[in-house]
Amino acid sequence: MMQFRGLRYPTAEQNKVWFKRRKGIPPSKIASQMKVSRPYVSQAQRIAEGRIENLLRHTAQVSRIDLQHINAEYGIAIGDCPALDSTIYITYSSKMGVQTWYSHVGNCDGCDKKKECNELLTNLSSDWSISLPDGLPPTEKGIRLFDEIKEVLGWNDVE
Amino acid sequence: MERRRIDIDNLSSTGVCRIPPISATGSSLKQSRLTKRNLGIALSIIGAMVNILIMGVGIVLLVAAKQPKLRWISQISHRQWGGIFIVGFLLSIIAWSPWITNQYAIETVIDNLGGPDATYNYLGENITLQEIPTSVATVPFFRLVYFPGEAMYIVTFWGGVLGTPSLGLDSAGD
Repeated sequence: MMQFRGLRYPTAEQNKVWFKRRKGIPPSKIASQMKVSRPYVSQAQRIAEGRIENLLRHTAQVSRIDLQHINAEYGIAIGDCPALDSTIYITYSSKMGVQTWYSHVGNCDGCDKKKECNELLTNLSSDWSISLPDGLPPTEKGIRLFDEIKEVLGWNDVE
Repeated sequence: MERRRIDIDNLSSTGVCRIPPISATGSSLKQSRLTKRNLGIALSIIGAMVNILIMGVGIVLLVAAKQPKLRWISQISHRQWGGIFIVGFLLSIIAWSPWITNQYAIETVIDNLGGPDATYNYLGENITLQEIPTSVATVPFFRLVYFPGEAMYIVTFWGGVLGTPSLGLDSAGD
């Protein structure tokens, strides 16, 4: 069984470096922006990605999810949960931490978490630079967002 | 990174949700709007039935007095007290309605909706009625049959079903 010794979130600095790198900013530019050395940026990115991967794998393990794809660079994993017979999306973001999303149509009209879900999806879409359509409930916005994310990552084999 | 735009015209019936699918959580999942609404309906029914109960006792007292004003309780005869007791007892039995078991209430609702093999649009999925998780709450004179997160039906003490169309009856048989 996989061990999760010292499971930790990335620090604020590591999060900043990780986020800038996933936006495609070169390490040298990040180093000059943050007034740190170039090797520091590489090390921070490596540590952040390691921690994010551990967080994603740990979340999958505690939720009994069989991972199909994982990408620490973007902080996302996709897997199946046999117990729920559902595809699960695990996301990491520096603003909202780790979140799990279950592939099924939720009833957003009466749900008291609708506002929270909308905020999370807005943050996620902002991180991924994907425009979300207005006027849709979070459950539909979410699946469209994840469809786009899968396309970006080339994970189209996941239903 | 180039900003991507989602194709809104390519709509599908799929979705994602942070709450796990209902099949895994069983009947414990109730969404707030329905819960509050159902609670409101249940309290209204209980209030109405308590009113009817008090009115019934009042009418019995008036009839027992044989005049259009109430007598003092001390002036009510033993025979009249017997009548009041019997009426109260009968009302209590009807309020309790032990013949409406949970199983009977569920079967009555399912029969009313077209039988166990009839399809029902439950949380966006068309499934047969026998597959829908149910829970039953007991209130005086009634049983409330819940399809968690979707609908509530009221089974009366005489075996009738009072539907709540906005909560589910209109989706039955889709």
